[in-house]
Amino acid sequence: MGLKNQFATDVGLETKGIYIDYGNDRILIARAGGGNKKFARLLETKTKPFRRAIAVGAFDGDRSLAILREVYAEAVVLGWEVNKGTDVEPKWEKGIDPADAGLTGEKLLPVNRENVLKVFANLPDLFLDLQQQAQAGALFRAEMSDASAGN
Amino acid sequence: MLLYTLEQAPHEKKIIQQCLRERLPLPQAIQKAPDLWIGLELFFGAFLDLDGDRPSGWSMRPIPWTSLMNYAEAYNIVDEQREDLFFYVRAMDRAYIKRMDEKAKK
Repeated sequence: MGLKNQFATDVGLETKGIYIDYGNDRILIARAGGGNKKFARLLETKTKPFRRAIAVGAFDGDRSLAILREVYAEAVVLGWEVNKGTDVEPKWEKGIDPADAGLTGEKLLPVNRENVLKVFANLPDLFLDLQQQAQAGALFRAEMSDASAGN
Repeated sequence: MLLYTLEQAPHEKKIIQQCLRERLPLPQAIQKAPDLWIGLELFFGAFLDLDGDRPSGWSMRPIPWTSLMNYAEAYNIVDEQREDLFFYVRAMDRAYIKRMDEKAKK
């Protein structure tokens, strides 16, 4: 197997996204980087006003995290679905469980930037996990998705 | 960052492993490895993507203007960000060509 097969990622998957399955929820994410240039473009735009602070080491972690969450909400999270069926016969519905966003109610929230940001604020570990998944080149290799599909 | 990536990074893992195995301190170059500032991935990635677009010849030639423009168009990099793309990629290109010329003279 050549290096290309081992390391090359599928730009289609990087931009159209892959599902990360959390059991009752599944989230469609694009890659944070690689062929997903929207991510790099947005990150550049949002960090540019702070470049001087970054250069002198005065850019604090909280601000960096807030910007990263915004960029992920806008350029990485492409979809969000909740299983309204069973484990055996799943029935995926587009939307976000209000409880995940720290809200009450039964009706699923629309998948938009504001609601995704609410979930990231309410479940910081979920954001960390999504960050790791979105940066893992291995998940976006065509071979991996072919193999998974055949399994 | 660019020069570190091109020269040190490919060997970094092996050097770190060897230092750990032999209980030696890490070389200064690795200890003081530069970080890419958050937000500059766009321009650094562009340089790496376009590095193979140079015209071939006896000496190393700069990345053509048309390649940069096509890249900006393909990825919808517009306005001020497009100006920055040209600025950063050209700055990296000059540094890269200078280093390669110095190496060739040795």
